[in-house]
Amino acid sequence: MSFESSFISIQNVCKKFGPVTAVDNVSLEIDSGEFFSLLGPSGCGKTTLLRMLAGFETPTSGEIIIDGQPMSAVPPHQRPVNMVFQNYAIFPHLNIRDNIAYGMRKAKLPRYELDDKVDEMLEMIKLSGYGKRRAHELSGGERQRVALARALIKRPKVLLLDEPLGALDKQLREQMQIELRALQRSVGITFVFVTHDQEEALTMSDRIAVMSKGKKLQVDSPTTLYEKPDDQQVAAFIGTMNFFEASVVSIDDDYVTVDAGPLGIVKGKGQSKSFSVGEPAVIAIRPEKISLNGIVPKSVGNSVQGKLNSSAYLGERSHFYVIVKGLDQPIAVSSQNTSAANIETCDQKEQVWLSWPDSAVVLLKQELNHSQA
Amino acid sequence: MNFSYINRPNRPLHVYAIVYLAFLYVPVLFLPLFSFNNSIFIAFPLKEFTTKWYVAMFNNEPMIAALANSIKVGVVTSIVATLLGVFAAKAVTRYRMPGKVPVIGFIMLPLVIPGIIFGVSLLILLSQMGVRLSLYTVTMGHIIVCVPFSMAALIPRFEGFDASIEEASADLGENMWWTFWRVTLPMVFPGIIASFLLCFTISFDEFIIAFFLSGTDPTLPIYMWGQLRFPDKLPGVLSLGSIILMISFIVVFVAHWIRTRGMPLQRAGGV
Repeated sequence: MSFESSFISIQNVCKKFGPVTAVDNVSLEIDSGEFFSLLGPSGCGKTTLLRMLAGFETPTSGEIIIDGQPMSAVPPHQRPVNMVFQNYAIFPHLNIRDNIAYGMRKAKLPRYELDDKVDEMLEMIKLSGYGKRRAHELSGGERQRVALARALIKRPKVLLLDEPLGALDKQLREQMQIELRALQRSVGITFVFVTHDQEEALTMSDRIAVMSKGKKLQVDSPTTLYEKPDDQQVAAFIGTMNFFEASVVSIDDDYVTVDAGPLGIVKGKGQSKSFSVGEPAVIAIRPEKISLNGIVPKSVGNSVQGKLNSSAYLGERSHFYVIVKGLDQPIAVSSQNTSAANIETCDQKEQVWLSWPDSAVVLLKQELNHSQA
Repeated sequence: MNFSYINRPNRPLHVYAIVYLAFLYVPVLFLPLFSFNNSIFIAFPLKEFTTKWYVAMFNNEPMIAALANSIKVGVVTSIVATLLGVFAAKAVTRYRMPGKVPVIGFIMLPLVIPGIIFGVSLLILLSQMGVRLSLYTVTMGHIIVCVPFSMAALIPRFEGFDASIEEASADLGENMWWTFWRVTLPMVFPGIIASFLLCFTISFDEFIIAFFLSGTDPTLPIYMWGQLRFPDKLPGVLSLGSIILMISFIVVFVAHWIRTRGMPLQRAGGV
């Protein structure tokens, strides 16, 4: 096997802690300069995978290759990677300057050159003048930036980030997401970013690997993951999704037509999956792609009548839950609150119609555990 | 006022506290009191004030030699015990290893085993091996007794900082030794000082093990015990005792202050 094109190559890596399999036969290819996210719920093995890249854990089997070099025999302190820890791990006995300069001992730079470099980093993280302070005198966001500078001063080939924004409050987190992304573009270093926050992953990444229970589920761009998830697990984990059971009626070049029971006959893009007539399938529709109407829609296709069960007003948009006869779960609908009058009328109408375009329908293979939607 | 029993003042307990403290410290205070008394008899009424016992003490060569022996033993003991304590504390706080709990228990055992048992068993062992008793054998005994104290002073320090701090150092390119030197050591340094002082004090006034294991060179407690047979030497012992008492107090307080400094409040004093 040759993986000349990819920069980091994770090949059939497993990690077992006693009887527990934390990472289960994961293979990934990450390109140079890519912002790559590992996304999954806690305990899915994403942090363990990251720690194996850093060298703090040894794979039980499989191989990790970084820039053409197999890493199995390379200890953490000799790997061309640096890490930003979840709790930042700023050295409490050193001030900010010495923290940032910590990794430069072996470079043996003359004093003034090192000082210049540290100043440059302090400027980059907008903390010039903070050099003499200690970690406990900084806020969470500032500490996070120091951890970043401390890693980036070494010009690593790969920067590993373990949920670095998890401890920050919402506003600061959103600001740091943008800053981090801009920084990554300007330094051109490969970022491997671990997060359980799907919104964060969608905002920042070039590509995302969705993980669950130690397994890699799907690796794709944020748009593809959101719009064309490979399976139900991915679809359920990223954003909200309505799932409906269906069975395949007919297949032609572009569309697969299914009978979705209460929803009627529905057409969906089959993607690359092979379906056969009569096979059970699952159709998935995002809440924001369904429109809610108080009156009968003009075209009869792709619409269903239901009763408004509950609604939640979230400011810029509202969520509605609509009960449709024959379905055991209400359908989630999300709509932008472009005009206030619109919402009030919807609130009062008991009988509503839901409609969606053909393009909104994602057709998925039916899986055994259907209950998790 | 209707106090609940939780915060109601309790007079019998106040009295008890005062009696307890008096019982603990009044006998100790007799030591400096009689060391300034111009009489070889340790009895009331007091005679006139004198410093002659202190002057005599400095001219007492065997006593000075015993003091020097104790200091030598104490310094070596505290250095070695602290060194072993650092490694042991790091091991039990950092590594996943089989049989960790029994190992800790085994190291901590000397805390509860009576010194006389240790003294006798070491004496038997050493004489079986044909080792001549000397200050070296005393030092060995003291190290065994001091390691658990050293660990007790150091473990909270190691637990006080996250292992990811050491991982960060490795991640930034430092090997095991450099990480220890640049991160671990500075972080646990107050614990090391505290352990050193604690071990020194323990070794300095340890009697039983020294009694069994010392050869011809006595340590200070052994020498003092020997002097108690001669009534005229007793005031000299008292004056020496007073000085040691004062130094011990200072050392213990400094050790405690250093050990708790910079640690979260709830950990303070929690050995």
